[in-house]
Amino acid sequence: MVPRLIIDVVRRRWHIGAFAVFQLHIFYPLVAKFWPSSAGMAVTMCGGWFLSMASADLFSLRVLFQLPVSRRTWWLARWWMSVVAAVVIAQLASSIGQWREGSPLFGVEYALLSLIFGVLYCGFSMGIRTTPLGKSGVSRRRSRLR
Amino acid sequence: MTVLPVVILFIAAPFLLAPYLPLSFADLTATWLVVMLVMAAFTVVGYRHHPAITPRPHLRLASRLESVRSGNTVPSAAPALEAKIEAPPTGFLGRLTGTRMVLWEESRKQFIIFSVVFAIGVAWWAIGSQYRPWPPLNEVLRKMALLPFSTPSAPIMEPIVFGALLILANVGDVWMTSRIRSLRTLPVSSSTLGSLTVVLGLTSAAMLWLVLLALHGLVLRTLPSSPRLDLFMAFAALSTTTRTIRFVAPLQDKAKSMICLAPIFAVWLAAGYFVDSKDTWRPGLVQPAMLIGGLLTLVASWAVMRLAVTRSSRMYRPQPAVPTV
Repeated sequence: MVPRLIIDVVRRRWHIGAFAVFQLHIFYPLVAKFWPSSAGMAVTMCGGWFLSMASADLFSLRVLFQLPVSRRTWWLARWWMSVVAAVVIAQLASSIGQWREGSPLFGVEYALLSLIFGVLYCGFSMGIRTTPLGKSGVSRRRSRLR
Repeated sequence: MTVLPVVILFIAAPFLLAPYLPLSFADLTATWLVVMLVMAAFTVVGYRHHPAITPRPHLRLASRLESVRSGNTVPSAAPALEAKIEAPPTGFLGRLTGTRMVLWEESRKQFIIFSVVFAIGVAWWAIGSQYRPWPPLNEVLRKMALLPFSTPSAPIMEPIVFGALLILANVGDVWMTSRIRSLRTLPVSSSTLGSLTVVLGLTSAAMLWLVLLALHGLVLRTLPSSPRLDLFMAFAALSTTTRTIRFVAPLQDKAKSMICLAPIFAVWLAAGYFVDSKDTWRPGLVQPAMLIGGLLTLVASWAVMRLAVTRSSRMYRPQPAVPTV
């Protein structure tokens, strides 16, 4: 069921991901120009985390909650979108930026290393969200929606 | 608002650690392996998380479900809970209505965000300078373009830093200023509603100027030598444009949150064209562009918003009924 939910959300929201690649790809040369030391993995980690935050509401549509799907399944679908998909999008934008700039960082090894660090960073963030600190923010947002 | 420091920390951490991040697998030291193990442990914890059975968001069933969960197995027999209604504000806040209420809420939000951001930055410098030979605070702030009143010319970092501040200012949404349907409930005319985004943008810039003035006074202990009207106008214009897009664009909230940041990225992209072939910044060209472009953008945003609230038939079309639970 998790792959179906992920495919469905990708089909409905692919344009947001494409726009995120475009935005981050614009951002990359500026970082490389003004702050060279942070051009590379930092962009992937920060961009991935930002997209991870933004993807928190991907499965909060009211119609989706009518489906007979357990909360654990929803959580797994959200985890894959927030951790893996977000980092892949950020790394894609970063790699395009590196390729366009002719950066020496452009390569398979650095891309793989950035992906690993990005996934761990976003996964760390998702782990934090299951702690009381993360839950406090979620419950406050929900109480405002009621 | 207490989540804001955590958000800023997660955004800033990769950039602060950037000089120490490995460039290849051979650069992975024992320290990095330990850090990766800790992050992997949290990743596994997050993956294995089983969310508690609580009311779905948007379903408004919290009270009844809580009473059933407390031991009562028959929902209809659950005792009626006392309605959790917050006491209305009294005094000055209680008397605020219409535009003044929105302005108060927004000003307070912006002031808190900017104050927290600068406080975290200064605290970071205070802690870091104990362990590393960092330059004095006024030098750091000047390099980060955060002392704009000390010099009449725009430094090269200005578009990046103030663009980032604008992104942070959009982090916390006040319920009233995130969608136009909420604003339509206010007892204000369409003309006032059409001007609201411009006023909110100017308010946001004013709050930033207040905090920057305080920072300038505390750090330099001198009076400002330049009001930097061009920067004020550019910041207010960008803030107004992001709000106008958020109100007017026919998209869902999450998509609008991303699309409304497009003007900031456009400015960052354009900033590259103001650097000449010798990588020298050209403030003589940038500052008039900021002032005139800011004024024109403010007028354009006002026109778009006014058109949306007075002419757009979409606003007056019957809305689909919200299904009740």
